[in-house]
Amino acid sequence: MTEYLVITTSVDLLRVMSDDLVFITSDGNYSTLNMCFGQPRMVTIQLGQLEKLIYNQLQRTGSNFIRIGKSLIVNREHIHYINIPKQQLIMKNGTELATLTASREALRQLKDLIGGERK
Amino acid sequence: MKKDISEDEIRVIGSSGPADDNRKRIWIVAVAAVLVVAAILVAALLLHKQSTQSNQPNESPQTNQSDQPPQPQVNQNWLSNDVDSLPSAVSVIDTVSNGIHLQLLTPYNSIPQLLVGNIDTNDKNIILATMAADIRRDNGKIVGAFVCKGEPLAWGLSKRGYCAIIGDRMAIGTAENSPLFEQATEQQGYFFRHYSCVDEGIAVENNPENKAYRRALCSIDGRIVVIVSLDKVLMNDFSVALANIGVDNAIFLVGGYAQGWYIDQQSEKHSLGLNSLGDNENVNYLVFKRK
Repeated sequence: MTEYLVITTSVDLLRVMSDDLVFITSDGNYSTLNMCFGQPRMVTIQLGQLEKLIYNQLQRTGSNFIRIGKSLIVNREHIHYINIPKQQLIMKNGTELATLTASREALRQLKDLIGGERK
Repeated sequence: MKKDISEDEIRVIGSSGPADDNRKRIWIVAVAAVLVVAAILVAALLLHKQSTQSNQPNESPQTNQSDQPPQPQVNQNWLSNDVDSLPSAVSVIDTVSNGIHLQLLTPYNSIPQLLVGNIDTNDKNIILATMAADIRRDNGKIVGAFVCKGEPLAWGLSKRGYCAIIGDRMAIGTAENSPLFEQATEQQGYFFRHYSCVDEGIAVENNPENKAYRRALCSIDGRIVVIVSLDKVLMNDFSVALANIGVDNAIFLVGGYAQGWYIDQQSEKHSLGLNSLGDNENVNYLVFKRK
């Protein structure tokens, strides 16, 4: 059964299929959700709050999401490429590729996690 | 779920097991108990206060001078960007301070105002627009005291930095109580609050947050300047960078990709950000309009 992440504020509601949510970036008090389709959407919620929402709402697919450092949450199903020396994390964003940056140590841990799952 | 995470860590969301769930339940019960006790104490305190004090808006000064706490040191230096030889436009200076790339936007010969609600991005009279006060996540209301054309729309002391606009003059400062709030309501002026960034030349320390593109409303040598960071930085690093380039007083503005733009002296329009935060009726902007 498809799971949805539902984000509500006082004036609106955003409902996103968890499989369609590629990554989330943080901008201070705001976060930007990048989906497979459509424009990125900014919400007035801090990244930590979104992490809690994912934890509370997504029973089955919550563990697909990985928090990387203070500013990024990615959906491991959309990870395309990791390059540690270049600090590159490339996500498959629908039909396009999106390049993100993270610390070398975090990317090393991510690579070990993703690589270890295939063994 | 562990709260803090460093830049070098990763965390799989939803990875906690039954042991973590039990610990979470115990925490929730303990916190709820503390909150109930605190609520009872606060209610008792408020009831006691109501029986001895009159009910006034937070920002208005007390009338009984002999019982008053000392008046705060409020910066009353009014700022102005009127220069006869310059057009009604924004001058742009790029600089670097403490390794942070900054853009200094000075709107000349213009009238500052606050606007509430969706803004007309095609209004050619606006030479600079940027979001001003934050909006509360829980109820969509404006954070901190806010006055628009003499009408108070919000009250509160959540942030110590303030900006007051009376006539076409502006004052920027840091104070918990400011008579400029009441003056703005009496004289069809404007007033809003945000985190203080620089206070009398000294960087103000705020609670640590993530790195983001920052904006601030500043006074430098009697001039109004909007300064934006071209790098994602921490609030405190941004404050120190501003203090180092000689900013006298500054308060934060809504940053990140928040909607904003300016018109330069070649009449070119430049975007500061495109996100309008949806249709929230309380979204508000600091604008500078041509004289």
